[in-house]
Amino acid sequence: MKTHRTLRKVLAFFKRDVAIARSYRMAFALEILEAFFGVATFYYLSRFVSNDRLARVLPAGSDYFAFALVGFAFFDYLTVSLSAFDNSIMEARQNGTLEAMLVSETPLTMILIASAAYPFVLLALRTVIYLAWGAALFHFPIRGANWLGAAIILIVSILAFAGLGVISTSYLLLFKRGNPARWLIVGASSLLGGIMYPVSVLPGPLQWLARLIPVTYSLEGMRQALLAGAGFAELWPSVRALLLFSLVLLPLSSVTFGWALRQTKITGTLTQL
Amino acid sequence: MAESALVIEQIEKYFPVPQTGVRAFLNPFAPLTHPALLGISFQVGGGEVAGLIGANGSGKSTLLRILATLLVPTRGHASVAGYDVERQASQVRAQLGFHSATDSGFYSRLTARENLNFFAAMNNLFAAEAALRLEELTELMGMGGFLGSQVRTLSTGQVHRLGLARAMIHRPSVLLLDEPTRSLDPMAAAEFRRFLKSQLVDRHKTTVLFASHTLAEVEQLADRVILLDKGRLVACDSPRALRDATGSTTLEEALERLTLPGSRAEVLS
Repeated sequence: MKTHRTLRKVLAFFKRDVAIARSYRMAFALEILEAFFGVATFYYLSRFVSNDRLARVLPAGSDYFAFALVGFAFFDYLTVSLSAFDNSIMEARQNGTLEAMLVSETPLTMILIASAAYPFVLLALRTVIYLAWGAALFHFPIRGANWLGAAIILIVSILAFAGLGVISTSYLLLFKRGNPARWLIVGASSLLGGIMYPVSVLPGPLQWLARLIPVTYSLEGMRQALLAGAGFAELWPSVRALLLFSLVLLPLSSVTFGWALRQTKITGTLTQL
Repeated sequence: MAESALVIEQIEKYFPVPQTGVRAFLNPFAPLTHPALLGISFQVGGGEVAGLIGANGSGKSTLLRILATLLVPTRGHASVAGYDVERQASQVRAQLGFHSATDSGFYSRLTARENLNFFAAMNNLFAAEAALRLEELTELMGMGGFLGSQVRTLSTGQVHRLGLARAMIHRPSVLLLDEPTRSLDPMAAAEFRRFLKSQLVDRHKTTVLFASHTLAEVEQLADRVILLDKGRLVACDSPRALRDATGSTTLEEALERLTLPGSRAEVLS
C-alpha cells in the first residue's frame, strides 16, 4: 500500500510537469533542434582539433567527437541532479504551492524526489536525442556499446549526484539564493571531471583531485561502456567508486537536509523567497 | 466539551530579528529574540468552532502555522487530534486542512481540476476516491463553472474557493483557516459560512479554528472566541460570555474593552 501511494505521488508530480510542459507547445520541438546544433558543433570542432597527439590520450576506440559528446551529454546528469531539487523548492516558493504541499501528507523529502522524476526522464530523452543525432549524421559509434553497463553506470551516478544535489538544496533552504555549494560542485567537476578533455592531460595534483569527485568515475565508466563496449569487470572500478560516493553522500545529505529544514521551521523562513 | 481536538499548552514562539547586508552574512543564525507568542494555552473540543481574533501582529497566523506544522514552537506543546505537532507531524498533517487567505498558490497553467487532483494525490487519495470528493466539493463550493479552466484565468474569489476546496479535499477532522472569507464577495462569504456551519461542523463534526478580522463572522460562526493581544491570550470564551463580562452590547465593543491599555485589568478584575 505504501509503495503504491509513493508511486502514485511520483506519477502525480510527473503528470503535473508533463501538463505544464504541454502548455508550452513549442518547447520540446526547440529542444530537439537545439540538440542538433549542439551535436553538429561538436562534430566540426572535433574535425578541427583532431590530431595524432590527441588520439594518443583518448580512450581506445574513440575519436574526439565521440569522447566530447559523451562528456557533454552525461555531464548534464550532474547539473540536473544539482538543479532539479533546488528548482522544485524555488518554483514552489515562487508560485506559492510549497506551503500547501508541506501541510499535505507528503514529506518534503518525498516532494524533492518526486519533483526530480520529470527532469530526469526529460534528460534521458535528451541524451537519446543527442546520441541519435550523433549516430545518424556524424558517425557516433553505437553498435559495439554495452548498453546495460551504461545503464548501471548511469543509475549509480544519479545516486551519487543526488546526494550532492540534496546537500546543495539544504543550503538553498537556509540561505534562499546564491548557492555556492552548487557553484563549487559544478565548477570543480567541469574543470576536473574530464568532460571535454581526458583527466590524464591535467597536472598530477589536479589528477589526484579529480579522483575525489564522482563525475570523473561516471564519465570514465560511461565512455568505457559506450565507446569501448567494456564488460562488467572493466566497469566495476567505476561502479564501486560511485557506490562508495552514494553510501557517503546520501546519508550525509539526508542529515544535512533534515537539519536545514528544522532550522527554517524555527526561523519561520521555510516558505520565504 | 467533547474530547479536545486541539490542545495548546504554554506555547511560546520567538523569531530572529531580520538582518540584512554584512550583519546577516556574518551572523546567519541570529538569536531568537523577537517574541510572537508568549505562553498561550487553550483547548478546542472536537466539533467545536473557535475564532481567533486580535490586531495585526497579535500572533494569530503564527499560532495557526505552528498547528499546521509549518513552524516549530520555541517552547511549549501543541497537539492536533491527539498527535504532537513536533514529534508526530505526519500524523498531524493527515488530520488537518489548512487554508490561508494569502495562499493563492496553484499551478497557473493547469486547470482547477488538475490542481485539485494533484493535491488529492499529495494527501494519499486514490483516483476514484479523489474523483468522488472532487464532485462533492464542486457542488458545495460552486466550482462547476470553472473546474476545467486554467487557474491563471480565474478571479481572486474563484482561486480562494479552490484553496478552500484543497484544504478540505481529504476530509480533515480539523480545519485551520486564516481569514477564510477575506477575498470573497459578500454573497460568496455568506454562502461559505453557511457551508462551514451546516456541512462541516453540524454534519461532519469537523473542528474549526479560524482567524478573522470580521467580528460579525466570528460572532456568527464561533462557539468560542480566542482573543490574542501582542502574543498573549487575553480572553477565551463564548461571544455572549465576553459581551456579558465586559458589559458590552457588541463583540467589537468587548474587544476594545479587553485590549485597550488599562481597561483590561478593570474588565478581568
